[in-house]
Amino acid sequence: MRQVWLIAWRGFVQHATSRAFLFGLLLLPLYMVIGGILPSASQSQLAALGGPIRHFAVIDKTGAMIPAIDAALDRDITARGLYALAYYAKENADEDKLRQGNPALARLLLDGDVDSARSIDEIEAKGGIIQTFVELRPFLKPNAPQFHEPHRRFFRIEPPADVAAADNVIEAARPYLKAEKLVTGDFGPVQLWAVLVIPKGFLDGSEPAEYLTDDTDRIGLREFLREPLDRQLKRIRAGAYVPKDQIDDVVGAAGTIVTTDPEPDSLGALSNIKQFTVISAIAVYLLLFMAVFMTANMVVMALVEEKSNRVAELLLSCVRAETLMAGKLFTGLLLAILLVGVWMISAIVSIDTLFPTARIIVDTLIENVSTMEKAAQIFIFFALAYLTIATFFLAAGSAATSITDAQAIVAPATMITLPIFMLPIAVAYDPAGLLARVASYLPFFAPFTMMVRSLSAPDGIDILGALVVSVLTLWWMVRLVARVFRSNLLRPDSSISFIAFLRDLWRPRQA
Amino acid sequence: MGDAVLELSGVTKRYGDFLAVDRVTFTAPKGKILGLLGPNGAGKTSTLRMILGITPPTDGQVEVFGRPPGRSVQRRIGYLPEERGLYRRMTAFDTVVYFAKLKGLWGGKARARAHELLEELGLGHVKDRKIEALSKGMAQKVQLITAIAHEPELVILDEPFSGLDPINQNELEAAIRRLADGGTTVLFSTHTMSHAERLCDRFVILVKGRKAFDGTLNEARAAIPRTVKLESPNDLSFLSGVKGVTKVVPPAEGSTHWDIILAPGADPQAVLAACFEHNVKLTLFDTSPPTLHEVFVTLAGGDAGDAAP
Repeated sequence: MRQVWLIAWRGFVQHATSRAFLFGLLLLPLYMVIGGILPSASQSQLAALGGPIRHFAVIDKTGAMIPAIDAALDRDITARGLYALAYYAKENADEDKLRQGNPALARLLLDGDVDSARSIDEIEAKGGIIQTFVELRPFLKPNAPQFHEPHRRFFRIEPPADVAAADNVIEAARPYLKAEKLVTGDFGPVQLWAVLVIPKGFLDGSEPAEYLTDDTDRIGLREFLREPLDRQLKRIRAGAYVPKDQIDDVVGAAGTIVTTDPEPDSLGALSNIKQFTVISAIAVYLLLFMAVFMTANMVVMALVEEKSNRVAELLLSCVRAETLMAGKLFTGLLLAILLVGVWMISAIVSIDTLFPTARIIVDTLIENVSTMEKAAQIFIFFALAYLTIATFFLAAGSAATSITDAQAIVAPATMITLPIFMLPIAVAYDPAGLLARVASYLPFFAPFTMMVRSLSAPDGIDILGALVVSVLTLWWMVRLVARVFRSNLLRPDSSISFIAFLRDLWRPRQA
Repeated sequence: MGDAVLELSGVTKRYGDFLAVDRVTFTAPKGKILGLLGPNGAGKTSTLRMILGITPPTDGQVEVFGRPPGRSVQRRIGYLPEERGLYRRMTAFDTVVYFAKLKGLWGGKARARAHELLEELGLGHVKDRKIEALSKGMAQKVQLITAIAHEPELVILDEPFSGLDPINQNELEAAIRRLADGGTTVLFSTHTMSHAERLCDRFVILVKGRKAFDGTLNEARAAIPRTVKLESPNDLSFLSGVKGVTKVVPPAEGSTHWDIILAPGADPQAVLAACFEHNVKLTLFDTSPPTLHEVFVTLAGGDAGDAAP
């Protein structure tokens, strides 16, 4: 065991202090920063333009609510436009000139409360945002950038005919809400984000309106709709309740909206929490996978170098081939742990400091691995996954006589093992599903699958089963590879093909 | 196996259809220097690898310290491979310490031995240099130190002199002698006969995987016919009629050198007497015993082409 440790530690120190490794170690955190900044920048642009666009339909059995909703949508775009135009004016208008030339506009854009109803009324009175911008244009500084009017956040579209006519609106709307069917928007087919069903009884309070959506976590549209509905309801009730002593009741009237997910048990493809869980699982898995792949390759290349510069023979005079192999494997494991550690910490720190909006991903991740038991579970399957793949790669490396030969063998070997790496990504979307459970018992797939599943709460029997399968697979791999390792290591001059390598695995040539 | 630290009995090694070592048998006495001689491809390296347990014999038996090669005896052996290989980016000191630890020494002892041996072989001033920054001779010395740092009882050196300049060769010879003087058994392979002749107590000569000779230098000399070297402008063909002379080799064109091959036990003085009788003018009469190179060339025949005197 001491010899294994000596070999592993020497290899670890050699790699960990090499520029190439440090480059790989630090490059990913750099990508994280860049990758984080770019989407943030583009999202800020998007937000300025009005954020993501949602299309929704309203089935109004009262016949009184749609005009109020449409008015609210128009007012919303005006309010957002005012906000953007006021910001634009402060940045790009010649303030003195504006105050002198158009004091009312200056008051509205430079000094006014852009959130107030009065300001919005003023804009509407001027004919809208574009008309207001035309008024502002003479007072802009030279070379002022173009003004972009925000887009609408919400588009009301007519409900699909089959939904509008359906007795069971939930069933009829389901395929549209799940994006299995698309509706026609202004610029082509789009997903129907929500359907608001307003029954007749909504007016007298006997029935609630129903907001149908596939994503009950995103409530922005529902809350937006609540306001015009309430206002319209109050208006109607105020008309009905003429007596002044009941005016408070009229003013206090508010409709109730019940939110319903037509298929609450299924994966909400757009559910925030579920998305974060999936994203964090895939992110963690990809980090672990990259660490496995990168270090396994490094170990292979180091072995090829030792073989070609004849250090391997010297080592074999000191230790058994199996000891050397174990040392090499643990070199890679130490490097993989270092990589994952640095990457994880840098990811957490960079998200925490640079991208606070994505902090929920980190929180979800930390929550998922918060116990020692969970952390140990992930580490064990990570180690088993690494050792299984690295053993195979090491056999490939022992068969090569040069880096070029090693690449010729490792490249097809990588392609063969690709499904093993890819399947867990599918598992991340449904870590308790049939695919996940079956993959947990498949040799080679088991440790990789459990790396992802460990971030949720897999059944104990699945954990045990995957552990047994993974350990047996590794044991079999080590036995298989150890046979060829020694015989290949002493063939510094004979290069073999990938096919010959596979053949050697089953019937190794004599050393 | 008496005082022999190494014993090979009918050892054979095949690589597929190629027969590398063919039923080789020999022993290495304790504290002696044994030379394993042979031309390239004679099976020397294969034999050494089997002794080290790096590769198993196809047939026959290898015993080191009375046991089959392997983990139990690995730490008692030091090995210098023919193909030199060290970690280029490690310092000389770290290299020695690393291999000494692999051979069982603990940290403090390994470091002390590294200091001691690097100083002893004149590498003290470069101990913190990386291997890639050392000259070939220096790197080879470092490699020798890695083979002996753990104080092995048997040191196996595969072509230790190849690639060294004469000064470093002399230093290496001295180091090998010191090892033997300290009681270490040394087995080294070479095809440079002068080193073997100066260093070895015994020789094993391999030719095409087979043992052609096993014994001391005197036994080697006795194993081949004795040659009397004469230089004369006269025709010496008459010497073929002298008793004990088996062959007379005439000089090449432009030369006056004659080789007179004698039968085993024949007296060279009979040749000298015959020359006097025929009033031959002699400028050289040399009855020196054959050199190891001559022995080797005779035994290896046409395969000895790459052997150096």
